[in-house]
Amino acid sequence: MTKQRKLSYLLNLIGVAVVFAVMTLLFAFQGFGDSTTYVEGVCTTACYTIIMVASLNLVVGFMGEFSLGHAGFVSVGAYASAIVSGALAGKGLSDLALLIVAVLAGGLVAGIAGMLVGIPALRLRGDYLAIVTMAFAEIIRVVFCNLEITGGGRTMSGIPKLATFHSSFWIMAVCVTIMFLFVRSRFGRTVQAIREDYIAAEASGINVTFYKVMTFAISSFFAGVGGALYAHYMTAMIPTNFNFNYSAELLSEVIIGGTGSLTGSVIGAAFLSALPEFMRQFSTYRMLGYSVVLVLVMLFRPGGIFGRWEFSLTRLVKKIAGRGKAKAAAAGALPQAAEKKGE
Amino acid sequence: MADKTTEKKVPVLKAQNLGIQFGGLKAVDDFNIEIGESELVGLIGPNGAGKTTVFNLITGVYKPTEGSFYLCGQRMNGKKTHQIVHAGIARTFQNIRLFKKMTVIDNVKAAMQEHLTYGLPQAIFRTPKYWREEADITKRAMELLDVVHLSGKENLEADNLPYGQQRRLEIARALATDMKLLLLDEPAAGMNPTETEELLEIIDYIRDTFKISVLLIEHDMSLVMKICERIQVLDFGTTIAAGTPAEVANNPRVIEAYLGKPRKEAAKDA
Ligand SMILES: Nc1ncnc2c1ncn2[C@@H]1O[C@H](COP(=O)(O)OP(=O)(O)OP(=O)(O)O)[C@@H](O)[C@H]1O
Ligand SMILES: [Mg+2]
Repeated sequence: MTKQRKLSYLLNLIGVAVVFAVMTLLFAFQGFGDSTTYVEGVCTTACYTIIMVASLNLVVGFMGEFSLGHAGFVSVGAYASAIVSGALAGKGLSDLALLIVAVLAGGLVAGIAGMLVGIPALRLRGDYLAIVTMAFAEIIRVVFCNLEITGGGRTMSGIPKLATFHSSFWIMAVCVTIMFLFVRSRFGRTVQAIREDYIAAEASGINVTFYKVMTFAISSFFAGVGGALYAHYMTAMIPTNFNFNYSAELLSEVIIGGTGSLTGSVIGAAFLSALPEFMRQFSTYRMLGYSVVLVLVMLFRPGGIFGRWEFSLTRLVKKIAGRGKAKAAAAGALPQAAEKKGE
Repeated sequence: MADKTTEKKVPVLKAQNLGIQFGGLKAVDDFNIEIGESELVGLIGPNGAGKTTVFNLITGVYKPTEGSFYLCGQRMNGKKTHQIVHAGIARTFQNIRLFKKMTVIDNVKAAMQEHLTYGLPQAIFRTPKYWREEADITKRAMELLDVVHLSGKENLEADNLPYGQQRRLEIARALATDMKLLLLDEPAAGMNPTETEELLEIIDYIRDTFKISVLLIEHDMSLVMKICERIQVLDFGTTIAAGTPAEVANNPRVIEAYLGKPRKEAAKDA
């Protein structure tokens, strides 16, 4: 049993490493010709977008609450991390160490913000969270536009470029893995029970408000992590980057990928963040394209493309090896991170 | 807490003068009950009598506007539902409320909050404690599914179970909370005679094995008469009779309010 588990972990680690190695090699040997650097950039974007979308899926897909202001938490993470890395720059930390500190700081501040927003909003039943999060994102944007430390409405630039494809990839892999483990623990089970029926959840001894706030804070934490990577990859940002459109985009990626499927979030985010980049000339139609896809998905696959299905490398390997598939399903391995990102 | 002056055993459930008012409507008024250990008490009454409301009061869904209730001598008024569940009262619902899109076994596991103590870090690093506790509750959930005759269905989606099995799954989920008092809201509703018979066996088995008390709402009079030790009858929110099945069955007010009169009256009126 334990051996099987270890094997499954190893398998997934190898899977992620292989994807990483292939992409690294492609980038190192100019696998995309002249546009290699450009493609690498797109893939980095995809990495942090995946974190943001997967984290939003915790709330929308697993907890069943609507958040219309995820970009607000992304921006809190982005600005908090930029301030921290700005303060710590030149203090002898290596780039990677500084990035990790900045990312954790961004996540933490965003997580706290999530808790503060969640406590009043999630006590109430109904779609209050959607309204409150939307208001929060707007307020944060206005606040950041008026604070000196966040650039005072102008572009905040000169953020050290600490995030590379390599670091972003591994941070993404770690984040998605943690979210997956969260979902496959008592916490995920509890939160899904709340989604299914909060009255029955309460009658089963579940402290509904507590678990909702907790999940929302965790989701916000990872939104902040995504924002921190964004800041340290883009090196410049303005509060209006994180407007309602950005929240709506993240939400549509969750819905298209599949509410309640982290696999769907990973693939959906990777694909949808890469696609418009490759069709720059049509970028004006980006939101229109999203809307059309969204409507089509809603019509033909209301649960999203992947529904609640999760990819499992262990299961796949076992299937290929031709061994009992029932066992594989029960073993429930951590999959996810091994998804391919972009082209 | 202060009123444990009597020498006799503290009742599992005691309600005193319990009442609730919705606007002008007194849905439940001056409700008193005492349920001893391992007792099975029936709560009956015509439609809209306030039976489900009593359950909602005892489980903290509604806050009583009057009176108080105690679980094993401990005052429960004002506690939140999940706190009351942890204290030892669990229920099923009249209109089944399962976690529909979750597997049968996850429905049961979701109610095992008390058995799980591992925290976030342990969940993320998958420490031995995580595996141990998860294995424990899986084993226990399987046992409970066996109790309600749902072995072999554990990996189905709850939604896909036939009606009668969904009702039994709700009982398993309630059992998973480790309660002292089980509230069953019309558990046999919509069941055919065979299913009802099976349900009765299960209720009997549960009482024997787990030593719990049961308060049962049921419309099927023959069923109630057969299994309940005591019966309390509600009508328009007030208790109109209480006693053994025989006493209640012969009580003219009960016959009038619940059994005979409405139909006869209706026939006369027609
Ligand atoms: N939340 C509420 N707000 C207002 N009125 C309510 C509420 N809940 C119940 N009632 C009223 O209280 C009365 C008792 O309802 P209750 O559901 O307890 O009846 P019941 O005895 O369970 O009936 P049934 O056999 O039909 O299930 C009804 O008149 C109902 O309309
Ligand atoms: Mg009722």
